[in-house]
Amino acid sequence: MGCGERLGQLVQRLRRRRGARSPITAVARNPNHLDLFVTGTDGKIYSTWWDQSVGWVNWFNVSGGAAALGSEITAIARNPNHLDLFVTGTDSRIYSTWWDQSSGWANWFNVSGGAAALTSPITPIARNPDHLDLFVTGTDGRIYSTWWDQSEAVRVHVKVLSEPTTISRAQMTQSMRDVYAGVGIDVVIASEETLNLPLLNDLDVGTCVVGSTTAEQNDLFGHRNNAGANDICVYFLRSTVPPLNGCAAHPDGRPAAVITSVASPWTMGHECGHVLGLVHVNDNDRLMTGNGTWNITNPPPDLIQSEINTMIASPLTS
Amino acid sequence: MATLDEVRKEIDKDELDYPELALALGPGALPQLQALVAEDEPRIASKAAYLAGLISEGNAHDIVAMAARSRHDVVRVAAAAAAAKLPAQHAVSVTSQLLSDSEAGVRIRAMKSAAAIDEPALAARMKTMSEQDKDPHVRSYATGAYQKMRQQ
Repeated sequence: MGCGERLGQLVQRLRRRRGARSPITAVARNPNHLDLFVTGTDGKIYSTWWDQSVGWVNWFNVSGGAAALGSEITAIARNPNHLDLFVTGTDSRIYSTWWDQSSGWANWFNVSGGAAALTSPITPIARNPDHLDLFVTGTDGRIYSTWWDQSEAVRVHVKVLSEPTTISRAQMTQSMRDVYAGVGIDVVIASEETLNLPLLNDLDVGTCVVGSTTAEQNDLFGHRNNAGANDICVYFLRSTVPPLNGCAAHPDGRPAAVITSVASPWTMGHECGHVLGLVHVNDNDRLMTGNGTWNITNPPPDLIQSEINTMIASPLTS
Repeated sequence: MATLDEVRKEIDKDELDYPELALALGPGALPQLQALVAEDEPRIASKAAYLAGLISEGNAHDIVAMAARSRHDVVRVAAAAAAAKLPAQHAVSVTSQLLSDSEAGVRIRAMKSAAAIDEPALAARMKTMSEQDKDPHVRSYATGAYQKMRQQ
């Protein structure tokens, strides 16, 4: 029995098992491999794969994802080692996740604040491996598009005075990467180093407002250690005075932020957002909420198009 | 008067404007701040302690003193910073206690507060620390801070 015939039978079985209205999406990343995606009868998003060498594997839920019954999951392989999935969620918002050979499945995230009619399929197309265009019918019946381009990136140099105690540094970095990647901005960790600066480990940040820095901040941010003028230095330290989760105030020409030991998974992305020119908003679904990133209600948090434009326009994004 | 959850919500932000918040909440929020320090969650307790110091009325000094006894370093650091905002007699008491803290970073922050409090007893402690503290960073900082205090 050929692979195509077996796939046909499998799809028929799945349709009987999972309900005829849920379309199955199949993608071949290479000639010897298939990935399938479907919304299950429980509303969760499932995947399985077939590989020439091992055959079919068991179904698994993709990164905790869920969608309205009958929602089509669209998938695209920009290259043989990468998959991008798109779906309209149960809240009518457009979600995406990706799988990469090097890092596995990422968390689902809302694409650029987008929304669509329930069960509307999202149509992705990759004109080249570093560019995606999406098309969808919006909740108002109009056709919308957005794009993602790999060419944008921020370079971050990590300087560690103290390791975080609540959320690991790796998790904070990954959370920032997830949110930024969702809007086409790659987060490049250009370097990591430990700094032995006990006098600055509980840093006086004064009022922590743009354009105003203390002597201690100026001292700390002098430790850039070969970071480029357009690179962001992120300093992990124990605490600030007064106590904050993070602070993005920095001297001119030394783009930087501090993250304290009690920061949330999203504080690093939030503070770097400030460095890139973003301001607070009163919306706990968004990365730049001024109500505290520990209180984000629908993780991962969103960035809207005007914020994305600001980030891309920043000289720190290239 | 703000409820406990309202005060918690106000201080559970990544960045907050303490002077504005102290003005908005006022001494009426001290019972809630005391409860939040007692809850022993370092992220919240440190912010509550500092805000109490900034309000600096009523039993604010008791709240800062409670924070100074916290098992969490970040809360004791916040107490050390808040101490400088308290009326002189309470500022000296809390700062003096934290100059003896077991953790070097807390002692350093307490020295920074001590430098802002014009009190001979604290200056004398700084002199002793500059000579006898077990941590070289503390000794070095104390030396410079003590010299500055003498010049004032």
